[in-house]
Amino acid sequence: MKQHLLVTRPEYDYTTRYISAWAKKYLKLAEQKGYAVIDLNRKRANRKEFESVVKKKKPTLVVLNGHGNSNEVAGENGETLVDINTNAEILADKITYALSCQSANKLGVKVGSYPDTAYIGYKEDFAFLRLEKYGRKPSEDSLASFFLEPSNAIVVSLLKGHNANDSYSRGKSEFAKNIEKLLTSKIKSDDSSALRFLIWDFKHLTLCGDKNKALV
Amino acid sequence: MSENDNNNEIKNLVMTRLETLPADAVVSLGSNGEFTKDQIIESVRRGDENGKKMIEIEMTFLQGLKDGILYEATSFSN
Repeated sequence: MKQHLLVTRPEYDYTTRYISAWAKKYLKLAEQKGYAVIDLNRKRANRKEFESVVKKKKPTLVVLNGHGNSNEVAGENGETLVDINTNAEILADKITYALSCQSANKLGVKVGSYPDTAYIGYKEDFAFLRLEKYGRKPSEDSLASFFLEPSNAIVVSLLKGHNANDSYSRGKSEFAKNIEKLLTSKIKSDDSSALRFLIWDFKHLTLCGDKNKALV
Repeated sequence: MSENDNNNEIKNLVMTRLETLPADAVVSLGSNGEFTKDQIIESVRRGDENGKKMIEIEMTFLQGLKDGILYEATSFSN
């Protein structure tokens, strides 16, 4: 039976448009790997559809792209998709990666406390730099790539069957590679201004729950 | 040096360092919003919530230099 990958991709401001555009890059790989992809893009990134799809399709991997805080992750127009008090258990027995602010601080800890469950996210705000001229073509923004490629590497690693801990480490390692690149003189000084934000994201990337959980 | 003087020194340091951002860079601070270079520098000057967040990010980086976070990061990449 095909495994399902559920991805939420709201697009209602520049930040969500950016992370949504970059998320497209791993959807094709997921299909090539034999996953049935459920793509909740724009208006479909609402709580009713999210809960319905999780219950019916039972995705093994959930990737949440959107704004968030310590207690919740949101979909289109900031509508709460999952929060610590009302429906966190919906992510039980799955691997979740949240490209969202702060959610690993409390929500991720709760989700990670369920058996056979892993949650990878950020304990603090996910900060990144972008260049204004790429507003209409976010996936070509080389400055944003320093942040969004390491994020994508986590999902790619999970899709390749690596466990939560290895995939979390892969993300850390990709952030670290970019930090190292920016420390060398071969990089434009403009790009090196990204360093402070990369260190921030590197430091706050967090894994909660079952380190050995993998997609089978 | 008073606490106020110290805070002003930190603010000035962060504002000076933010001048190295590319002119057309936009800083995304997640749910807090997006800021042009001039806007984020102004937030730091005013000391509003976004400015405080930016100071926290900058000081994490500078403190990290002292604590060896770059060593930690680069050893992660090897």
